[in-house]
Amino acid sequence: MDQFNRRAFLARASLLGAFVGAGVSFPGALNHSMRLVGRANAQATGSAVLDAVEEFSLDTMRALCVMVMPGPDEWSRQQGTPREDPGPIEVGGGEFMKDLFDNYLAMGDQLARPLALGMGTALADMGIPAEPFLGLSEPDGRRIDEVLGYVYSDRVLPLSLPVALVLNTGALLVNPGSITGPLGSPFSRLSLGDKCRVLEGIEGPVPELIAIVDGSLPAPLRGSASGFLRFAGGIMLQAAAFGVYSEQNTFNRQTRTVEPRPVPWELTGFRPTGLVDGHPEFVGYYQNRTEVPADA
Amino acid sequence: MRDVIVIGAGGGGPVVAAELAGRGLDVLILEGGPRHADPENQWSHAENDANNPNNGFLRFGPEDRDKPAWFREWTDNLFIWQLSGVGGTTQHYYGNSPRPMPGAFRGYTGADAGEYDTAHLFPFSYEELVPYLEWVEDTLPVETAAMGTKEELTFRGCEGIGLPVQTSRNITRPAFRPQQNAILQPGGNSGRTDDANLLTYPQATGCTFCGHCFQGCYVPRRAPRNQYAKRSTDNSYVPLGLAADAVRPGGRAFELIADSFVQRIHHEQEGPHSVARGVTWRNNTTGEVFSEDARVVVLAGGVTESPRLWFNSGLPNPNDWVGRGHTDHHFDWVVGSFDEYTGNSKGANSAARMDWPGRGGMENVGLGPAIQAFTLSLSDSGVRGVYDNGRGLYGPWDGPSGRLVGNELKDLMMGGIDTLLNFLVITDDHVQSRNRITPSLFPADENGAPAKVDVTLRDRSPRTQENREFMVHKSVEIMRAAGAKKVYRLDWAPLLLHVHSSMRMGESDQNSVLDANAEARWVKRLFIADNSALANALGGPNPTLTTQALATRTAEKIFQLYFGGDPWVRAEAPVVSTDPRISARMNAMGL
Repeated sequence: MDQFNRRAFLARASLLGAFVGAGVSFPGALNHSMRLVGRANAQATGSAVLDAVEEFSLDTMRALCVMVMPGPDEWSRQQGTPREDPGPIEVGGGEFMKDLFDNYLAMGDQLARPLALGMGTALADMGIPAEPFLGLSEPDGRRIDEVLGYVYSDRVLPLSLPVALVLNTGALLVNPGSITGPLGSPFSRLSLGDKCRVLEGIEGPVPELIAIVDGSLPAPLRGSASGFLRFAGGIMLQAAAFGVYSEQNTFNRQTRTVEPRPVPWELTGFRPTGLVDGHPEFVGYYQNRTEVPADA
Repeated sequence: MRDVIVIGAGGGGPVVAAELAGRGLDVLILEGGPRHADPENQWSHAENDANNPNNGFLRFGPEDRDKPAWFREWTDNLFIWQLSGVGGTTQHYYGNSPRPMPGAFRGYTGADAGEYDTAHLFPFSYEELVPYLEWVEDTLPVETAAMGTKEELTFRGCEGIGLPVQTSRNITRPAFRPQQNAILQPGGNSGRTDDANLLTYPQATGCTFCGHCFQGCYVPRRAPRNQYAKRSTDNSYVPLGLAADAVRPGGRAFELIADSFVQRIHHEQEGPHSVARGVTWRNNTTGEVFSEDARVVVLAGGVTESPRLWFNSGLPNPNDWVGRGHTDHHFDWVVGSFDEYTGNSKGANSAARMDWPGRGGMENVGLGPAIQAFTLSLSDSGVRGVYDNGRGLYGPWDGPSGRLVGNELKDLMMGGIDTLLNFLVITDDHVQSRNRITPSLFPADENGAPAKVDVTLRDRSPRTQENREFMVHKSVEIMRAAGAKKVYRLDWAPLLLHVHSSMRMGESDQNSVLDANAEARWVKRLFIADNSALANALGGPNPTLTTQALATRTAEKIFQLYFGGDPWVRAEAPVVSTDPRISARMNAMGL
């Protein structure tokens, strides 16, 4: 089972990202556009593997966010819905989603192992040439563990990886041509309609994508791990919508102030003068009923 | 040894604790989540700051927001929006406190008696509960809600379809009305200004119409804790319990310990029964583990966590109904867009309600942009007009049901948050044994196996599904009569806000965990006092008031059965939780 531990799982994940992003053998140069997008958790690791993991996940999360808030960005243009008003890239939507998933689970390796097993099998079935890279060098592997131990608590699984893998596995199924092109992941290269087809595969009454993973899982987690992925699939758009239409990007937790004015507040006309403690919105009582007697 | 240990300071636990403390018992109340002792300086009105499931101040997790939230396993596209912390889920509820439908109780003989979940009735009559409802209504207090623009529009819609206004607290016929809310009504400058300088206590009292019920309530600023507008239990029953010695002769303030998760209920065999003896808990911050014995244990951890603790404690489950019978009102969501100002984001978040006995009800809901976008993105019908997961329902709403994405969602949001109106559809959801909580096979956390929530998306009983469709159609009618130019039906996936019945009381020992006193059938001296004790989904009304009335009744039963006392609800007057003696205690405690 050693090849299915977290390290191997991450290696597979990073390889998909590196492979599809660069189109060259790992650990070769990454796609230039991926370098530009930055990283959610900017750790100066010097590890190309971790860089690929982070950027692959972030790119996928950005592609998810523009589904619920298209904007003037490359991801929206790629999905076919560019517009001039600000979108989720401007409010850090991808970083928000990555953080949400990466810190969501008070959970350790036990979930990662079966997911790695299922995902690895699924990738192999799809002909993703990950095999040459399974044998990560020890120094690379240690760096991943050290960084994860620093960025995340020991008991939190960076869930953005399996979520990104599910979306990108689906992207390759829906549109095999998405394996190459602009941006850093197959999912981000899809049209809005094709992205919807990927989500349909996850959340439908017969979740086709999940079935691929589920078939490879060891009992007794067969229902549980895949069930969890179905849950994650279901909340992707809800969570993205919540995050990108909130104040999250300009809220200062120390001062509990919102500065500058959040983009979504501007877009929706919410709280023109900022957060206030009340409004002149009282218009009276219906039919002047201020009380209902207990015995009426 | 304590007289009583109460597990959980959410919607129900503090009721039992405060009532028994008022009778002079030595009561300890334990809460797994944080004690937000100074929300004016700990909270904000910001949506993500409050509601982020990972690190929002209103989440299901320990006090330290930098630590991970607690894990629960969900089996599908569903989400339970329960909170830890003193006040529990009432910290973010809307204060809606309607009475239950009389038809949900034993002995109901109305013409519509057959329309309810008659296989899972409460094991006593509605008439028996009414004095307890009145007691809680006085204690909180529950008051008739004022109107903002969104209520005016809602009532216009109700009038437009010829629905009569209900003039009784009891639900007797299809009708609409202002909500009976556990919210102090506006006084002084409240509701009349947005000037912060004019909205501090006491020049402003009660609800200031800030529009942030879901972010917790700490208005008017500078008010003593028990004078905050929304009567969540951290603002009502907890202050009452902390001042029990000041307001009741012979009363004794309860002890409250927060950020302390109960890991185990101690029990031993005594004759044919197990008997509860005490509890073990763990301080989340220090990791220290403590134990205390008690004459009576009251479990009030919530609909998800009470079964979890039961299982993790190894308590008996001979009929396999522990954790079963979970109901959630099978919600749905209808949104109207208007050409006029709706006041969606302002005022108490839900102050208008409509009821259809035997079917369910609906209520208006005001929202800020983040939760509004969330509600428009939650569906079991896939993406509207693109894929439908085998549903994509058509009806009097515009187009198929389903979540909005892309330009459709953004354009609707950019039409203005205050041009939208929302109705929450609340179904009379019949009890089904397959909807349940079990121990998860995922790895245990410090407190044992986490809970696995297995609530079916679609396999509801035919009557439940029929009820939901009926209520959705009525909602759309009212929305159009209110003036909506376009109406969306979301066909929500399960968003579990009203949860009940996972440790239900019942008439039969074949399908219930609790007897008619809310005592565990197979574990003496162990009572349950959260929503999980409810026998059913109440016919549709929001559950908190009924849970609190039932908890009051349970406190009386405990006092009679194990402490030789007399019941008080029919003999005495309640203490209103805004009582000046409680305010003085809150000031003295810096709360």
